[in-house]
Amino acid sequence: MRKISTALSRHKKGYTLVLLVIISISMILFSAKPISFRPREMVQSLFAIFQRGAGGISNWFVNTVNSISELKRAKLELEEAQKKLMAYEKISRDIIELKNENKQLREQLRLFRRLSYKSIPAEVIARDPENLFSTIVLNKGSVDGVKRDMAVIAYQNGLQGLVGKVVLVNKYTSTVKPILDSSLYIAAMFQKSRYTGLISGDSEDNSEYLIMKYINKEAMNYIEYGDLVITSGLGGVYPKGIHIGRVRKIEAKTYQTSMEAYIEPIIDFSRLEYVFILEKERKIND
Amino acid sequence: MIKREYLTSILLLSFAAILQSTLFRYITIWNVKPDLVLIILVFVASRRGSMVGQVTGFWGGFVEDLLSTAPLGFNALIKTLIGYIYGIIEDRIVIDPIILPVLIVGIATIIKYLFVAVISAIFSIESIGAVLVSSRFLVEILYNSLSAPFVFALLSLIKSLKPREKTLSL
Repeated sequence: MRKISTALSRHKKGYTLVLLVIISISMILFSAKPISFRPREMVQSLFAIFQRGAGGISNWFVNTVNSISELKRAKLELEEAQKKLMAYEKISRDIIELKNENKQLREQLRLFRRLSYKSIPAEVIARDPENLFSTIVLNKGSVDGVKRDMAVIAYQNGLQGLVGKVVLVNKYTSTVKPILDSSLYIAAMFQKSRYTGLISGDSEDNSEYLIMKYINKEAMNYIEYGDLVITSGLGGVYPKGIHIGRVRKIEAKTYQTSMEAYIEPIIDFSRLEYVFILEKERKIND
Repeated sequence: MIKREYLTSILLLSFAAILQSTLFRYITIWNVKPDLVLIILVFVASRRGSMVGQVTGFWGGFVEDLLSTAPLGFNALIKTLIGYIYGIIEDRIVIDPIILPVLIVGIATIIKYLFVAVISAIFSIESIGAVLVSSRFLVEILYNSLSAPFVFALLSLIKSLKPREKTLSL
């Protein structure tokens, strides 16, 4: 007995390492396939409080920084106001700015109305802590009606683009796997030529391009640089007709029966803030 | 009773993981953010030894797993091993304020990616298998290395993470 306790205390570090490694491996083995593991969801919900908190802090921080810059601008404006000529110039500038803002908001509203599916608007509150994965956390969960496998879209530069799909739903948050992820496959087709293929993220490089595989080689003569690629609706996860990206490169190897195209996504993921989670039901038109 | 060094490190690593998933989106370079959990872990392990390194590394990785869609245990395993390895260098080197932090954190990032490649190959984690050949790997090495002196300087202010004092027995 004493021998065992002596050995344990002598090799404490080694035994602890072995124990921690065994625990980690067991966890990987039990969680490698099913992503929605209940204990994880429970703890994730707990951490979501901190994520939401941190998201709130970040917004507060950004707003405060903006407020400071606005205060500075207000001070400058006051000084400028003393010089009457400059004040008139400022007023006209403000009017132009408001007009632009109004135009942008009207466009957003118009695009939202054009959406033929029921949708849940959501805000991006967190991203994957590691660079190895690219998941996005949204501030809407099961209480808001979010379900697994729902498609997520966003509007950027007046275009509606596919963001990804919901892979994990907690009570108040949901996790989205973006189309850039190489483990996500989307049935797609070229908007103009209607040739189909399968899109996934590019795992071989950190490029922002997607790869469209299994395209019939005949399509070579009908596809052009900049052609739009949309969802084909096959598989039932993504509704048909959502913009994915534009063709940037085409590769056709002689020894392969099909060809590949590199697609630049419509959505710039680095400045993604607001998204829409699409429900399966179509919107009833007014 | 949990020792203060464990408690401080665990709190720091949890906070770092939450920061990485939220505020760090504003400081990405080519969509790559620094691995603050790794930098803190290297600092803690190299100052407080393998035991503290592996336990806090396990916790830091575990929190990252919870906040991500990574298989549970994936980051925990990587960070446990890195914590253990870096604990071995405790007392063996004197860490200056700039060059060594850059160097050891750069090497830690390389080790991390080697583990990533090996573990994702063993457990067939498809989406990150080819990460070693991506430019993301190089950007992260640079980003982590260059952030290290600043993070180390801040962490060295924490009393419970100061290097252990050794007594000479005659």
